[in-house]
Amino acid sequence: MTATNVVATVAAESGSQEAGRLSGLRDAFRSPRLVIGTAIVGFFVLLGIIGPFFAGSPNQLSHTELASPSVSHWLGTTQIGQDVFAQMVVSARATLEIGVGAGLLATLVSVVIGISGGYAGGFIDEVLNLLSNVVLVIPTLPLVIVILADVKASGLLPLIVIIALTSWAAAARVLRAQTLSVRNREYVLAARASGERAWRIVFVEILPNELPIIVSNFIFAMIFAILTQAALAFIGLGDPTLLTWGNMLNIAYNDEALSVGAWWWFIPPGLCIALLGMGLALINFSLDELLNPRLRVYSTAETRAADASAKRGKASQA
Amino acid sequence: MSDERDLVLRAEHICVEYAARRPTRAVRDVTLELRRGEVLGIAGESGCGKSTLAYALTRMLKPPARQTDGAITFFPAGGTAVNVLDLAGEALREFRWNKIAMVFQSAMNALNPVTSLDKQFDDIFEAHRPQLDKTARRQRAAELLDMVGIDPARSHGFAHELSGGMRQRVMIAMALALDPEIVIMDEPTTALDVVVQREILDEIERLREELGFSVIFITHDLSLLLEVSDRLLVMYAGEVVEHAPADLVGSAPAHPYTFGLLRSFPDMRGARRELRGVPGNPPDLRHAFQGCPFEPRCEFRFEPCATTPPTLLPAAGRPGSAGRTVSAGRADGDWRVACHLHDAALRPAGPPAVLSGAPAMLSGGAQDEVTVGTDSAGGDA
Amino acid sequence: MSVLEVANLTVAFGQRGGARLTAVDDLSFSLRAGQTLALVGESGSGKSTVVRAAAQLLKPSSGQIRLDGQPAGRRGRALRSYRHEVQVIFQDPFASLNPMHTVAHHLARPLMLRSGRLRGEALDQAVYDLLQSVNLTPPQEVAAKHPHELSGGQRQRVAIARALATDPDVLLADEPVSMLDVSIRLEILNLLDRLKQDRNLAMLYVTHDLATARYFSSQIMVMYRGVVVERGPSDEVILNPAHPYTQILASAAPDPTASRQSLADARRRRQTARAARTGEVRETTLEQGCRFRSRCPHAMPVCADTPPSVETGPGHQALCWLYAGQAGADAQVQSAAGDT
Repeated sequence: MTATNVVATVAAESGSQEAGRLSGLRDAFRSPRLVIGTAIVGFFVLLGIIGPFFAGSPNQLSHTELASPSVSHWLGTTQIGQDVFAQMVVSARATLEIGVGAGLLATLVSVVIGISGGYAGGFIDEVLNLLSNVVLVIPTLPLVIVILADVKASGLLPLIVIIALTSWAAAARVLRAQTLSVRNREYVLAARASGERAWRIVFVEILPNELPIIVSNFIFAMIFAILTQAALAFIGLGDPTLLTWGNMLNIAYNDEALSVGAWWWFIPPGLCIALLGMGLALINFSLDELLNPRLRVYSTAETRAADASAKRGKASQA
Repeated sequence: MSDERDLVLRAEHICVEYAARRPTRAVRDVTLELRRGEVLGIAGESGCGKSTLAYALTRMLKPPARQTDGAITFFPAGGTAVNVLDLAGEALREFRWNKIAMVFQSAMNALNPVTSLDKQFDDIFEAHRPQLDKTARRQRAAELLDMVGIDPARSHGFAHELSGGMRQRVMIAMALALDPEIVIMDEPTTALDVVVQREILDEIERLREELGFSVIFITHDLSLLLEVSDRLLVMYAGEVVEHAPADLVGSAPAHPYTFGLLRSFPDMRGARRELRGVPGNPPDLRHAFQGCPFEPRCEFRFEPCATTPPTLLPAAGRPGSAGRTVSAGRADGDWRVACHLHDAALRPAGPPAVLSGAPAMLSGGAQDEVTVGTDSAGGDA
Repeated sequence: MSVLEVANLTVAFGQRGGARLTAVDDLSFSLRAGQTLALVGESGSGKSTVVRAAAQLLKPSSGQIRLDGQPAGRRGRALRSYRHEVQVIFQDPFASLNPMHTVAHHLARPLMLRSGRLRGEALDQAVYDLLQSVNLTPPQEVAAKHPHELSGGQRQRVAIARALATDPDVLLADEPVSMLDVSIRLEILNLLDRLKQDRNLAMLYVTHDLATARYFSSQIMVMYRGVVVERGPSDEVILNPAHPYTQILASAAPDPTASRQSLADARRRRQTARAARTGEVRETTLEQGCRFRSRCPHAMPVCADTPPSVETGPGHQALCWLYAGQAGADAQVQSAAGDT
């Protein structure tokens, strides 16, 4: 009797669960935050990939200096006649490269240090934890400034590496805490009891359960990298030949765009930075809803109609 | 329906749904009555809807749970009937905790871990008895703690300093702080050790005798309910499947699920017998059931069970059912069961022997003496 | 004869402030093939710690474990081989399976660990056979599911199947049914019992439920705060409990055959007894003497010394001064006459 009943239940449930997982994704997109965030970030990614092909040349000098937006220059020109729109579009690519590159690297470092320390415990954990705490306590921006001022290398890669190596610590701490908790869960104990080796346990049992936090950390690291690079560029550090929104702001500031009132030069790049940051943040917030079903508040057509008629019913009774 | 003078709460046709793409119907058309001064037990396992029902009665349902149908009426002592669902604002606040209070399952989750206990009592009094000044409040809190057997000096402490049993007593003290007429207890002793559980139950019984409130006692532990309640409801898949006097149902269950549930609590001191529970798994409440929701797991099912949903009928062969008079001295002879086996039209011979009300069918007897739980070669000693 | 022997197991934790908490104190037991030993105790008794120590999931402060007469391997290949022979079933069916993986993964891994050559179709078939043995059918469908798609009882069956995957000789079941719905507990316990008989396993059944402890085991140990206070044949210990703690446990269980009147009488008796007592003391430092004395209705001055283990019947032992020597004989007469 047990067997047949289990069959019945299992069969009945299997159909519904498959649909459940796919529709979970569909439902997630009902969240306005996720939709808006994805739209914004998607827009910039698209801009970064295909924009440069039709935006024109960002570096071409022309004789229409500091011109306000017009048909020929959608966002006006810089002080040496370069097309602001073209610059803005092309900058998207470099900015995103920095964001993704530094974000990935920082996340990778935090995963390795956080999870190894958390799982290994003992002396290794003490050392790694100390390292994380030290790096965390040092103020990031001044540290980066100091390093950059010394390092003479130019280009994207050094920038990415330096930003990444100074911003992994907070995420590492979070992952360590999470690992300490997951490590004592019974399914990890069961894996140990089966004789699984440690590295397999970390990769196969523990890591997948921490993916939500890791993804969230990555997005946050991206935002941080973009903003940091913008700040660095604004104060003239990093590679001035790179075309990024931060660099645009720096040049605009140095060339007195503010006092001249050339809003088309400094507002667009600033706005882009802000929008991209906001888009990423929106995705990050809505990840919570996606991963924790209890936070979702459903409002299907049925319940809305039912509520409406209930209200009408009460009104007529009163 | 019973005489309204005896009632303190009546809930009719309660339906509660959890909104989702495929909504879960957690409570399906449940009707219950609570008499003044009685203990009504609600028994059932996970997913039967008993906790959801409790939250509906106290109007504490949170989204995505919503009540989609039903009426709840409260009959205060010496007052006029109150429609609970219509209450709003001040009136609702006054109803909650003053008239009806709840003791939750896990005290550690319900007590604030970062505020001291007397501060938490303060919160109750500030909200509901603003006229009491600070000394009066402290005094009342001390009285309440003493009443449940906790040293009042501990009121300055925090929840984590108390043992599980003591925390649960604090929960009970808080529930009784405003002298309510109804106390709903949702698995109040499940997380506790069996010895402490016994103490808490004794405490509840003593307080009930002293203060006279009515209790709705919700638990999966049917054997416990048989001891503490006057009447009990057995719930399955969001519906009431049996409604019976507690002192009789233990030896003569009417519904196959009640029968199976009773069988799942082996008597520690009894003769060794075959131990069986209820085969199968709890149902998926997102489905609408064609017939009886218990049918897939029922060992007594017959033709109508899969196609026709049963309704609550008088249990065949019990005092108080059709054709028999209620004997004097019994609080309530009303015994109803949602099962086609008791429908004389569908089964003129009546239900099978074990469900027919003849006692001594439950403990061993007709069943074979196959013993399980003995060990293979070697025995002991 | 015994498959697993645990001798003088002590597990002590250092706490903040220096005080040491002895979760398990000098505990010994042995498990025999085809038999179940029940370990009964409440939360805080240390029973889960015993399981973890016996499974070598935590390091004891002292004690020896012997498997098949040989000292248990503590590292490397010897430890892995021990792990294959001694398996654990955990209490929480929701926590003992990794939510990210399918049932097949959970079962395939230990199967592969036992026999590295098992792959592909042979592996799949082995997984289905395991699912069949715990009555989860059709196995192909169940194998593809994730834990959240199964009910509590089904998950626990998967956990049992996983424990059997390495073909162990010993099963340590840590409260395997206490988090399951009541109506399916007996089904799961029956399954465990049948598997034990079919495969001639030695089983340790840890629980707080005296009734199932009696029916599903032949021997029983009662633990209180890290110490075994009574042990013996199950029927003996449950029906004739010797130690006051066991007596209280037995009397606290609901009695379905009692009448309303006798229940009310018992309640009144308990209330007077409780009023007479000074109150429960929360203790973590009571290391000397009998640990139960603060709650014991028969406490005597001699209880401040560690009580001896006394034989109160064939194979039946209790750790209590009531049964030792002169004071024991007198007290025995008294407690037989009175009631708790």
